Amino acid sequence: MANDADLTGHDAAPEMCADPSSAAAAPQPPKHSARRALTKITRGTYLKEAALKNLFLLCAFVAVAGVALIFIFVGIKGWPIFGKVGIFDFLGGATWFPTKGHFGILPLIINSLLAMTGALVLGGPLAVGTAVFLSEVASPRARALVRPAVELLAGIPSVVYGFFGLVLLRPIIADLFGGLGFGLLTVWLILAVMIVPTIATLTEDALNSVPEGIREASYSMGATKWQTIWRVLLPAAKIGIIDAIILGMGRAIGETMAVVMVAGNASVIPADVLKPFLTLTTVIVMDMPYASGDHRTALFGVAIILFVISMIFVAAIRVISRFGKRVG
Amino acid sequence: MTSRRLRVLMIAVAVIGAVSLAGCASSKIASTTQLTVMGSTTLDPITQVAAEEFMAANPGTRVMVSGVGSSAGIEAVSKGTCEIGTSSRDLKPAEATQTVEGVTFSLVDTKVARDAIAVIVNPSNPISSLTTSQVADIFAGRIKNWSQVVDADGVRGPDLAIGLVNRDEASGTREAFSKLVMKGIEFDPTAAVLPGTGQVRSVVAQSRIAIGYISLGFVKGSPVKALIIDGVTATEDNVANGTYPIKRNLHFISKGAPQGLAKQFIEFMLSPQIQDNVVIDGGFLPIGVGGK
Repeated sequence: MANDADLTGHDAAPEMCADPSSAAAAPQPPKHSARRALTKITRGTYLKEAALKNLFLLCAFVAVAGVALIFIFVGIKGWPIFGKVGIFDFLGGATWFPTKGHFGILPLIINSLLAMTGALVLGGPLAVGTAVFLSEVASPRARALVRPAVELLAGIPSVVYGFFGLVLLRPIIADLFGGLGFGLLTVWLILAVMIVPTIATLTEDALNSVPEGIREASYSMGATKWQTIWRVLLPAAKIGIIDAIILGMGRAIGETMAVVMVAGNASVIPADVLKPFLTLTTVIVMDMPYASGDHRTALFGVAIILFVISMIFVAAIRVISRFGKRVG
Repeated sequence: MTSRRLRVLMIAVAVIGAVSLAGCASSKIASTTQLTVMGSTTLDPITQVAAEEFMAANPGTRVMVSGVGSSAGIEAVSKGTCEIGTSSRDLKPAEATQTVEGVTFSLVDTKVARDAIAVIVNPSNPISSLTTSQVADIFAGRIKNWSQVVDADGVRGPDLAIGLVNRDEASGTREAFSKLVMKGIEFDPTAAVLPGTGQVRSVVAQSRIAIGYISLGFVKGSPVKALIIDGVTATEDNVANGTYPIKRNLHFISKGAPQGLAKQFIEFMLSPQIQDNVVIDGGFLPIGVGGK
């Protein structure tokens, strides 16, 4: 309440006690009402402002509380596995066979990283290329067509990507390369498309925030469009693009539904890109319905690892952005 | 103006609160006529049909059926998440009698149908019969290429790597297959693991190198080929006369003796209306046929 008073300050305070003092103010009613209209906010406005301020505070609080609650809950549920198995055997164990008492998630970590890296190699250039096209090359008409398409990609539910991969892409890959079509190659292709909107929209923002003067300077030096993009704009937007790519990495490593449908879910490091594999996220969705005891605890342990990975990504973005500001 | 708006808002909040309270109250009343059934994806189709017929025969009741896997169903009924858990495998001793937080209870198993597990390949696969031990060798990963496989008619498979399709560990079909065919041998860990009978069937239907196993009830009318096992064709007759080797019972599990709506539904499931029509149409066998 004290803060609320601070927000609207001295204007509000006299207004609040307007009624008791009205007798004193009675001799000059016209002046009073004129002042009121010009300089004072009404009681209703004051209340609305205070309510809005608290509403936004509540919104922010819910977000923070959500993260904290999830972290605490997952931590409490998963922590015992580190004591039981040992953190090094959990992270470094080569066998994940929970119903036989083997809780090594190294294959799952490696598989998740493999899936993410491949998706990034395929999807990163595609997304940055799309952003350059949208920001620098496209005519307004082309932009009006491409941008909604990219935004639509972000809106497609991941289970639809997975379904598309399972019934359409997987048989094609099986026919072309042999095997069943469950494997890294299929997952890479799906994830590459899924991370395009994340990386492309943020990269486009980064390119758009490069001052127009820099482009003009580059052209006035006789640079071609390509030279301007490659030598001037991309380096200038470098920090924003790196942030975009890290967010894309987070999207790729955290993706679950689309991956579980086309990965094949074998808990080993695949011998090649056409063999089934299990990741940190898909193991949770596959095993959670029936897991009990240590197995269940281990799944929460996997969730802790995923949480730590996403914290690392967020921290990386913060550090890079700060570094970028200092350099820029 | 604004205070009026505020008042309207407050009234709206009050109304919403009252409605949601009323909603809670009415759902509490309704829960006596509501039944939740969770478990085996194998049993799911016939349980769904039985539930619809049960609701039609008993107006005012609601039976909600979901296929989440046998182990998940048993877990759910143990925890009280559902009244009936369905399972395509037998209860383990540790599940039959459990002690949770000092309270001991036992799960009661009612057998509702009989089923066989068919080993399926793509129709374009020349192999048409295998022995149980060949199937076990294939699923253990000891045989990795179709050219290493010779069937009972002397037909050799093509020179293609075998595409193993396994089920997830929540699956009762996997559990039963492991017990009846693998007999303690581990599955090949590099096999693809799919979370449902339907997925196994569609992948095998699309891939000529694939081999998988599904309930016999799901083979009928689908583009997959059920292999002859140990010289016996996978048909309902051969399951009924006991010659087909990979067969099992399907179960409804309740926490303690079934009561109320759960008891009614299980009795309905065992009635001729379901056993002689729905169960048979689903490709399973009535529980009275063929004995154990």
